[in-house]
Amino acid sequence: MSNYNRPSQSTLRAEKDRNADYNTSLFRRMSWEGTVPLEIRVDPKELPANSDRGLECYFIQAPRISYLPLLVPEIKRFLMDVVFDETAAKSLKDEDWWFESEEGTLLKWHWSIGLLYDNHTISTSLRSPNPPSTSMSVPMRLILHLAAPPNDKLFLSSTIEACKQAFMNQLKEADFVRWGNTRRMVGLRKVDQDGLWEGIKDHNFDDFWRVASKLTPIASGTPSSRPTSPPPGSALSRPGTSDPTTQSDRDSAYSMRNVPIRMYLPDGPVLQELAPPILEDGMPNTLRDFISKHLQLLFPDRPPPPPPSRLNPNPQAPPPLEHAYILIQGVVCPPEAELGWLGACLVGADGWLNICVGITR
Amino acid sequence: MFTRDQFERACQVFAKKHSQWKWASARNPGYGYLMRTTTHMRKSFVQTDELAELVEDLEEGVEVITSADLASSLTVNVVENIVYCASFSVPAFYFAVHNSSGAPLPLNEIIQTSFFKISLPKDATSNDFALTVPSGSFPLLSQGDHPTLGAPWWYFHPCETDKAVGEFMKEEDQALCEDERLIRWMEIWLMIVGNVLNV
Repeated sequence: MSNYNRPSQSTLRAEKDRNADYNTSLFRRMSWEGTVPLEIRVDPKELPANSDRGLECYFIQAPRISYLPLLVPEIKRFLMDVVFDETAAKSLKDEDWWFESEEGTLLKWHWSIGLLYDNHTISTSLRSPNPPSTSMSVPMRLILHLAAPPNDKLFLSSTIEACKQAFMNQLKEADFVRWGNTRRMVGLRKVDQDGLWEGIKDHNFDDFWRVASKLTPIASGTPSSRPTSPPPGSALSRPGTSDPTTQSDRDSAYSMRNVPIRMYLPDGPVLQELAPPILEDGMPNTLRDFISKHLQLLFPDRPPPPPPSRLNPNPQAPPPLEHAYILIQGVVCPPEAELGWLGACLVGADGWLNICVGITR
Repeated sequence: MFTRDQFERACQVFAKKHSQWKWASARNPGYGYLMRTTTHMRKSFVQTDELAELVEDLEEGVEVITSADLASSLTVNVVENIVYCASFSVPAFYFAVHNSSGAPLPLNEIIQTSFFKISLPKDATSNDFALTVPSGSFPLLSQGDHPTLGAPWWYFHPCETDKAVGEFMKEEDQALCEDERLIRWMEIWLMIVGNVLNV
């Protein structure tokens, strides 16, 4: 049979990888472009003398992947231009500024805005009698305080520089969780490492992902199609066998040791546990598997089907009880979603898959 | 490398032997930690608000300054926690330092207390939020969310812990039982932390 009519195995695999690349890029771009509405209001008791009251509210559609310290300069410019009296505002020091939600939750400098918003969505849905609206997002109201930051509960430094360092630490930690070493991060040139933060500051998807794609796996090589022993030189061979910076462009999400993942419970602690993309039985690890392992009460294991009877000779297992829902990048995720895929496509800019757990009513 | 269960076991047997450390349990199993409190002194007369106030009082002749007042302004309170670090699967050393009025100390003042054993290495850089040595890929010391309490605490970066302690563990008697190995691991690790901090 002529070879012109049948695509070769390697062509098929290349096409599959190209599709995976396309899908990965698509979801990454959607996460990157995600924004949330914020309504920022200065605490009325702290407005300096002679401020133009009634105008002290600032609305901003903020990128999910950005951070509060990066918004402060813009907010400050507005307040100084429009609201504050010049003399009265002279003594203000923006390193003493801090934010809290309307409900009194302190807002951390080093948590991404998307994470702050999703956590807030879940907390408020617990408090209010009405289920959250899924069609339109509600502005999150922030109160801006101008003095006396609660140093015991917030990082001492609110500067952009401190935020950058916290961000870089998270990237390196995610690198370690994925591969057991930080070779990929450390192997980046300094200008590339700094370029990651510049990409966040300038909100430039291409600049950011040009570097980040060397660190983050793509969602190729699903477990069923993964070759058991990749031929030498193949794109799917084990990482670390050759030059890490080009090799990692082709690293599969399923060859990671663990997915960097954290669970945020409503008003509760942040939980971090090991999350291998493939379970011991060779099946992909899903959100349901992960949550039911670590939060038994919320995602109880499916009860077994009842024994067969004359009336019901082929019993099915009863539907699982869902007490919780999972919010990732503001989207309710199906429990069957695979952690490997999520860790490649819906991951935050700092490399972490932050999952917010809400309770259904 | 530790699982959460192994960490909990290690802490319990360690605290039995070293009774100044107490176990604090958490809502979720495996998220408990060891804690102890110590006091230290400022090494030098750093210009602090408390000292400035005392000096003012002296000049105005308002109060007699007792040695207790002076001692109090030089004292700092340190809370030390040993908490499980999930990313590196090892224990990590977290601490919080406050002056006698309960205000947290900035990093440059913490370095100037008896809690810090040595002076900074020559090429170390310190700013408000981290202490870094160029040879390390992570900062040596920085602020981070306490894994159980969620509040910001200072912590020693645990990325090198497993390797460093592992080297020493090779020299240990291999016939030790599991509990004894866990205790030795913790003791060796605290000895390494003790190169920099008085613990």
